[in-house]
Amino acid sequence: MRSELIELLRQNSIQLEKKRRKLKPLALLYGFTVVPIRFLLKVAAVLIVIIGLFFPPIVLWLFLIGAIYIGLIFIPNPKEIYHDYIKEGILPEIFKAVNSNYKYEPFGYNQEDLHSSGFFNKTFFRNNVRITGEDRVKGVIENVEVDFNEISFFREDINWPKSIGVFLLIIFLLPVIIFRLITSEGGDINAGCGGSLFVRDTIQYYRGLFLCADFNKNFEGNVIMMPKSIESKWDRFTDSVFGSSFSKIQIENQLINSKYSIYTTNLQTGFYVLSPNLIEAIAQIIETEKVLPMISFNSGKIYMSIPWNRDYFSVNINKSVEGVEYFTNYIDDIQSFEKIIKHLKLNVKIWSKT
Amino acid sequence: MSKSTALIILIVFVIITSPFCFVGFIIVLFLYNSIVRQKNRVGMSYSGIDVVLKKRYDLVPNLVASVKEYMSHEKELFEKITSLRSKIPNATSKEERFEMENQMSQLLGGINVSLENYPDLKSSENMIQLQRTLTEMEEQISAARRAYNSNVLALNDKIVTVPSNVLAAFLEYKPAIYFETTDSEKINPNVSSLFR
Repeated sequence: MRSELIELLRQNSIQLEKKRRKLKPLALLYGFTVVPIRFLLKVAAVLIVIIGLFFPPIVLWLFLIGAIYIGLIFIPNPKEIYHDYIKEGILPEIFKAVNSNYKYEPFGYNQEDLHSSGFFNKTFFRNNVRITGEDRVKGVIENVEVDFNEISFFREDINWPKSIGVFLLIIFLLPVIIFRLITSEGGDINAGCGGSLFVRDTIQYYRGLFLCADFNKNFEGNVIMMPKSIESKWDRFTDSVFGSSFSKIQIENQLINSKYSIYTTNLQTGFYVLSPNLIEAIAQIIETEKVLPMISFNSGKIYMSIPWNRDYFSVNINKSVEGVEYFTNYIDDIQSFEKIIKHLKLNVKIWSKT
Repeated sequence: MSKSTALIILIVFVIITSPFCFVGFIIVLFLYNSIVRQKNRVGMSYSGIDVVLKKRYDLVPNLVASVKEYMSHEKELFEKITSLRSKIPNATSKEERFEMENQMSQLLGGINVSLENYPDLKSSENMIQLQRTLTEMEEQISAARRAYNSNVLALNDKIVTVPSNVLAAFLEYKPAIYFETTDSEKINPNVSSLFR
């Protein structure tokens, strides 16, 4: 490591440790007061609704609980303050010091690139309800323009235990509800009947590194390498029955053929993009990293999503900042991104777009 | 398998399976479409090769003219390239043409090697652009060849495997020839260089 970088890391570690020591007791206090109170308020709200069926009115109580709950939301979580301090204050400086070309943004992702990647054409990502991005880095690595970030995909799944609980509660309270509706004057019989009885949770089903870079060949068309393990059987069936604008190709590498389905809009483009050297480099990534990245090539760009299910630049308020070594993992993460670009040899341009 | 034998097998198969909703006829139809489509794909990918080889054919005179006067010691190489270029349109078969095109790839690759002896020429902007164009052309030829070979493999598989081989014999389809790589391309890639 360069001496300027070490000096910067040393200064940052001192500042960070001061901040951590200041915030840690507050985080403990927050954990023992605000968090349990919020939980108890939720329980109280449910109990008030149930009791309210027997002894109305309940609106005033619910309003009071709601007001306290909202008030608690405005109390900042010290863990989040610490997290934001690192992401917004320290990491941009580290990135700049590692490579002056890097521009770091703590949150966000490139929506346009993600859609251009063509990954959404496949069923695996179709049911997604939310996408979040973190640690976005834009820059130039060996004359290759890159943009990468951590990305998470979420979908809604039915939570069966909770749904069964709600169902049992409704059965238990049904006689009371019916009694109240019959005895009340001018009551709205449809109230509360809207919506699904199923309780749905938003779950994270895919997390990884999304990378977009200029490809070293200029081409028109689309090539997608989809791991067979996440490819939808329904997609395969519909493609074979109804046809598709993509044709499937087999390349000269058995490892890749066994793990991936490769689709291309044009056979010749597919082979032009997937040169033997590139295939070899991708196979090396699969073997060394033990992951199956999704890869696509679209109009002169490469998109890659590597399912490294971990939090890059993770922040832990309980871990003391002991000198420069604290940042070693961060530097390793930055270098792992660089390694991929160098490994694919995207800098060896054989064709200029001009 | 002769054409008449194949015809007899097909007729017997269709007759035997006709009580079962003509399922044999449907199978034959499906196989026929599949093998004809594959043959068309081979034809299409061959035309893809043809297009890029034609591009290179047109590029060669420009290339030779640009470097000939500076690389005076490589006279023999340029004569070979010019002579080979004039022979290519007269190739009588695919095999002969593929062989000549492979020789052309080797000779053009030889220019790149020889350039090492002319550092001034190598660093000139025009030469760098020309080299890029040549490399790009070779990449495109390689892609077209691999696409063609991939389609040939699929067709040849259908021609020799049961049951499509019966239909292939009836249609008198012969296994197509591969566009083999040049010797220089057969050398194993240096994997260790990827980690440097």
